[in-house]
Amino acid sequence: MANPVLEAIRRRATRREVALGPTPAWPRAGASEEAVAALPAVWAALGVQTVPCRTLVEAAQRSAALLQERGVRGVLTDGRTIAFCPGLVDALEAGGLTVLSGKLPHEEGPRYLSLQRWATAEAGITVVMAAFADTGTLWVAGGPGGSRCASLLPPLHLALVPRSRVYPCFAAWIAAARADGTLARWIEESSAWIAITGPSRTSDIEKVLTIGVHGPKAVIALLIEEA
Amino acid sequence: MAFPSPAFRQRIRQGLADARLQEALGRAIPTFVAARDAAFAALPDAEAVRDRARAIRAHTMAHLDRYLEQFAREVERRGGKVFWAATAREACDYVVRLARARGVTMVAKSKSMVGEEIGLNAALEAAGIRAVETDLGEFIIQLAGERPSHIITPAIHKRREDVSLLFQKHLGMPPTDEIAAMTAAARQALRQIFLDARMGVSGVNFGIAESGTLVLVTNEGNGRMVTTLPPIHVALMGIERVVPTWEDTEILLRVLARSATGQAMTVYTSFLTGPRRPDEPDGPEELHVVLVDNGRSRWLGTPLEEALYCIRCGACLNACPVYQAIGGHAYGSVYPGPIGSIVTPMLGDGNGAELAYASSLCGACQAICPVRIAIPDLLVRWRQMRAGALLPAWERWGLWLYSRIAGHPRLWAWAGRWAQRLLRALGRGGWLRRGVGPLRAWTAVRDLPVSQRAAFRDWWASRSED
Repeated sequence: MANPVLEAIRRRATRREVALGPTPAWPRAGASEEAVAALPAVWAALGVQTVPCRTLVEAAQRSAALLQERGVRGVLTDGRTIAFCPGLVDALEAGGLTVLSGKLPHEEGPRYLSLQRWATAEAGITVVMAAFADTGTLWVAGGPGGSRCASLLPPLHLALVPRSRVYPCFAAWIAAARADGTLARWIEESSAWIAITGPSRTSDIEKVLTIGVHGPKAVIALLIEEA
Repeated sequence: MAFPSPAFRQRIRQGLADARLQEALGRAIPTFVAARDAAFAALPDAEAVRDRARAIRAHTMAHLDRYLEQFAREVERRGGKVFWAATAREACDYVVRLARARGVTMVAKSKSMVGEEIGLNAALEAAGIRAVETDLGEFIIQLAGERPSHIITPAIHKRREDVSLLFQKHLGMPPTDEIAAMTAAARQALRQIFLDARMGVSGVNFGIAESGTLVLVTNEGNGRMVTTLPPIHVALMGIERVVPTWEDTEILLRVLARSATGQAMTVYTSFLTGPRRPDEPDGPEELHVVLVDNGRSRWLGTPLEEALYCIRCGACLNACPVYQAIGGHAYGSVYPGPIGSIVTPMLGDGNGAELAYASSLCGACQAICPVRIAIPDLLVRWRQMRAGALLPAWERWGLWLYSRIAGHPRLWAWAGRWAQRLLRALGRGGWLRRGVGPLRAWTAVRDLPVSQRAAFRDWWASRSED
């Protein structure tokens, strides 16, 4: 099929060789223990609270307790997080919380109604695919059972961060994911990867930093030692 | 034709005389510059990162056809639709047709400079479709009926008092000077818009060619909302936004947020590949990518190709003494500031060449640019190419004469001596207070010192003989 825009570009592209030069150093390198140790300070600077946990069981219980303390009633999570942390739903429900999860229907009306219901959740819980120590970034993904809304709609986001998934920086994660095929696989399976670095914020009025515009106002990272 | 045009002069005068604007810029700009400098100081290997970022952009423009074709193929392979728009009109028509075909009555928009460039809001509204801006700054200026005055902080010209007045009028909010309270009111008003809109329109910061992935950065989360909640997501992307690989994108992200706001990473960076997959719990059911040319491809293979390297961080605006003095609206263009003065006449019908004169060529923009665009050189090119024709005949003749004299050392020395004699004859007490001819523009705002001493050349010659 003729594509005049592409043809115009093809006629004018110079195809000249551009030397890329030396590859710059990663923003942060080194062993994962150092990266894990650096995270709480980086998170604190962003306004993300760190809650250290030893095990998944402890993470489930701490999650329920944190939400109860804050008077949360409804919590939005997803299939991936439930599969990752098997005791989570029981712990939340035992704490009197209503757990919302599952899939939005594809048909417009039912989809809209489900979305309205999800929007009532006062907290969201998601497991992260990775975390980057240099910037304190939480890397969450769509894909099978991976919700975009759970880390977006509620005013509070609880992120489960397994220690084994902490990378020194984004560049280090890309290198690893490229090498072991994770990147290629996830590009096919997931319509969204979201890098979350702190709570939602704006400086649109007089450059004054204000927290919690459209996304969560608070982010708590549960850093799980044995996971 | 008068130059600069009376309209441009008028906008500049307005900007300079606007006390509120001056106050708003004075509150905001120093924060920007200090944050940016601190962020780069903390980035390891920062200069090498900037070199690599520039090389990636240069390489991509040299092979733009190849990367765009790959990008479009990968988007479509994963269920997205790609529309190639040669003009602003074609881009708007596509979005309006799509909205009509799906029965959309309201569109939620996240910030898109290309959206402003093609005039999408006006096109949607002409078709009876409401378009709501959801970035806080864009929301404010939409309520005010204005256009953005900054690439990153669209409402930078508004003080909190101005915003409060707008929110009192449009949201029924009581008067306040609390920025947090105003932000909360906007959150509440816009949340229902996100949920109700059946189409979300976003811009695109980068399009990754190898996977057909759209990369979008927002601090507020509105970019995530409009690309997640509505069943249809339309992404507007300038053809120059494409980047070959994930690794290249990571390099550009390293400089983007640091240059734009001084953050190491923007709060939300979305990597979106195709519409929602069958196993996914949420996401849009349809994804449309509108690739907008609107004049860009004309400049490939010319010296102005370099302007297409721009990653729209807005750092050159914050560094520019002219922008700081006159504000974004004085430019009268969608893209303000130094890079805007280059890009504006490259797009659409090519108006705005006179903007090349809204610069002192001090070079602060080039020094701060994360991809090291030679902004002053490109401004001079515009002055030579098009704006030169807009100058009055005497000024063009004068510049021609000047270039001849300056090109010949003996002629230069002779002219210098005569100029000095002339100034001495006109001056009083070592100063020339009221010039004649073109000198009037200088002496209108400051006096010209008149040296009583010998010309440098003569002094130098006598010194060498000693």
